[in-house]
Amino acid sequence: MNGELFKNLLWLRWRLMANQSRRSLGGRLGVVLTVIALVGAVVLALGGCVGGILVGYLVPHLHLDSASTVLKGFYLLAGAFLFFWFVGLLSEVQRSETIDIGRLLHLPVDLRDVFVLNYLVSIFSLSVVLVVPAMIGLAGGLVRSCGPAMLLLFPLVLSFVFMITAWVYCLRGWLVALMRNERRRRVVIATMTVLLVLGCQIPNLIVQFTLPSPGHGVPGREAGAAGMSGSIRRAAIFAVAHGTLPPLWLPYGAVALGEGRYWPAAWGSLGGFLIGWLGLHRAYRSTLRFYQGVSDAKPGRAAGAVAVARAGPAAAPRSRTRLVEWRLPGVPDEVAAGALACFRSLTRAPEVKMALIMNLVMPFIMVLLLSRHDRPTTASGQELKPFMATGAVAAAVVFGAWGLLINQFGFDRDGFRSYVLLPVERHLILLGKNLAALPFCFGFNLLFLAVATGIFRLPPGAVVAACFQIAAIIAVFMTLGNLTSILVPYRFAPGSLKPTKMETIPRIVLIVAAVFGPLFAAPIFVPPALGMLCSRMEWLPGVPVNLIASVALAGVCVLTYALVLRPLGRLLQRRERDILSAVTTEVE
Amino acid sequence: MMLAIETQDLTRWFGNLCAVDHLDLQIETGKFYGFLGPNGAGKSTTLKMLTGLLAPSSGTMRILDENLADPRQALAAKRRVGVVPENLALFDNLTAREYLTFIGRMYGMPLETVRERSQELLAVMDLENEEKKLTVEFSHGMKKKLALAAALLPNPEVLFLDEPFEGVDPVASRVLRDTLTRCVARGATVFLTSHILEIVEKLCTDVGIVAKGKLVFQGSMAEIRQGGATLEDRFLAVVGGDPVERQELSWLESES
Repeated sequence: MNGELFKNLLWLRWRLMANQSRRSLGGRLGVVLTVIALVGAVVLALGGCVGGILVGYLVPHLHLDSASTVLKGFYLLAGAFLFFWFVGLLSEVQRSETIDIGRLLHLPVDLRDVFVLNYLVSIFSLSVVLVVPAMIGLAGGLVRSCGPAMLLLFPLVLSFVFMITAWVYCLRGWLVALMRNERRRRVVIATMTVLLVLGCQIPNLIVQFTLPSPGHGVPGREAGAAGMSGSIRRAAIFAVAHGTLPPLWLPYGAVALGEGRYWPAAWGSLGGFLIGWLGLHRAYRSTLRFYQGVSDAKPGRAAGAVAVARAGPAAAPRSRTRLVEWRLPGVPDEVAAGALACFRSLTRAPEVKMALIMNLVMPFIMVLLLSRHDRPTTASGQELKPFMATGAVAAAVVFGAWGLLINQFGFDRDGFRSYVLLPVERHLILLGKNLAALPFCFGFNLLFLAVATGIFRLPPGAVVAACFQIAAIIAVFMTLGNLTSILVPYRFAPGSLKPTKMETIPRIVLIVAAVFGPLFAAPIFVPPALGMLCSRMEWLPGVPVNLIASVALAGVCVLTYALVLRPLGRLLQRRERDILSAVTTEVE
Repeated sequence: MMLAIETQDLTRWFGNLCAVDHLDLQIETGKFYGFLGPNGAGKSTTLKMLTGLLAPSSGTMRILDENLADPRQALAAKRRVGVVPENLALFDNLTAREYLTFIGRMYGMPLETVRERSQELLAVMDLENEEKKLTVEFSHGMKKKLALAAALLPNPEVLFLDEPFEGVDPVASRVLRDTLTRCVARGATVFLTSHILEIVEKLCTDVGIVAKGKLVFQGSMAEIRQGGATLEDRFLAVVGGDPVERQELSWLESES
């Protein structure tokens, strides 16, 4: 292995990182901040190592159950390592400036050397700097306090790190091969992000469902017996999971060492190294196949694809009406065209799907958690139910639809240029954009309302009133969204909803809108409040008051929306070039 | 004869840089006008201002007698104009046919007409077999052809094209040239910017050359050809392109 080459690759990695920081943070300040970050990382690594040693050394002096402490410590460290490593994987996959072999192939370098060096260079990341020194330090401290048997922790930690990094490296190579296709690339990034977020919820759900449910306890002796059998079952599941899932071998081996059993740690180390080696070998083979142009597609499939492509021109033209050709009742053709094209675009954009799925995860977890609690049965609880329906409606807009409305032209990216070039009144473009977002807004609202209705057994009167409140809140937030989209547009990074090229004022406005935007949902709480007031004062029954006030509110909000649409269109026409420079990739 | 494009004192500043400096253009209808200049001369900036993608710092612009400073007249002008901008204007997540349908309906064209013309344009541009591909998956040349198809769809009276031949293969380039020639033959005006002097020389009837934001030459190809000069000769003469001095690089000639 060539030492100069290794140094050169390290230098390349450093330059890419420094240049990226300089570009994103601006000038020398970026480089200075990068240096500060690196120094900080070294300090953190040293701190983690020293902290680990101290904790390990002090375990016997703290009068704690050492096995349990070791277990918890290594669980935490292994979990943190896995989390940071997968976050790193996501950012590496999305970054365009990585050292990929394709960029080194023309150099006089052996591919195997480049592969190994590339893998080694890839290990030097924040997660390793933050977590591995702490693991090593903890192991060192435990050797000092618990005896030389704890030396087995070192190979165990190293095998864990090697296994995870090797297989993630293999996964990354596979993802890169998948992402040669731009469309698939964005789907992969979106899917990975969703999986990461869902994965982070798993411990929460496990804790929620392994702990006894509040209010569902069984009294007396039965409770003791049931609890004991439950804990035995859980212990059995935990033991099987620790024995079979490789990422758990590190904490399992550490616990076993604390209990005086050495074989789990020894087997765990050996298994970790073997699995890691297999991952690296597989990564190398797939990398070779990728760069040598060996297709993953099976010959049969490829031949089929060619056959389809050849049959294409001869095939009869499709006569069915496409979604973008539909007509929408009651709106001009230009509005329908804009709405349908925008809707089609949104439904195909992986980043939008990702955002929508993320927002769907919330009610899903909410259902799971709330379904374990008792429902309100008191009179005051019943009185609050209309507010629960309204709250669900408000939450749907604040957590779901608002994200789609706040920067509507950002989704278009370079496509916004089309709108500027089009000979269409600008308020019609706004209306089209809003209609495109309408199915998502209504979908979220109805979903949240249905979930709330199911959990809290909401009365039909409150649900019907909430349906009118949906119309009101959507009209309010669409007006607000039109205004923010026109006044403070910003660009989304390709394939994500991450704001880029953002100036200070839009950044501040975005934060203010995120914090204070939900306040604009306040008006829809007026009808249930009126209902409760009338009911308490015994003027009128609360349900019809809530319903009538909701209908009136919806009417006022929709009318206001219609009235301000044309002035907003004129504002859009005045500001469309500014919006263009904000949302497109063009640099003058 | 009616003027298709007219600018007076058109100026655009970017900070301290004057990208377009008091530009006066007068282009008659039915002309195939090539707008040339070295890199950074202000060609694309001018085209962006003429198409409404960029606001001028000062000056006036008229397209087909519509004053672009008036929002209503600007919209009226846009109805009669087709544009292929420098960075294109495509939506990543639409197919070629969906994009053309969207554009056609936005121009108020009947759906049947949009369908027929889209079919023909996609066939001419050799994009009809890419039915399922989104534009984000298109190559640069395919994107350019789609942008041109979208610009041609409403059958515009004036076509603005920013570097239409850049990154386009010879076959597609031939299709583009034929299509544009047919447009001019039916009376449309084409305004294009390009670096490829040979193509401009073959296609254009009139040429304007800008350097450092100023119009340094404007005339017909016939005027240029007087005395046996080529467009390249005239271009180098007016933009001051002296032959590059011989650099050292003597090591290139020696054996390593």
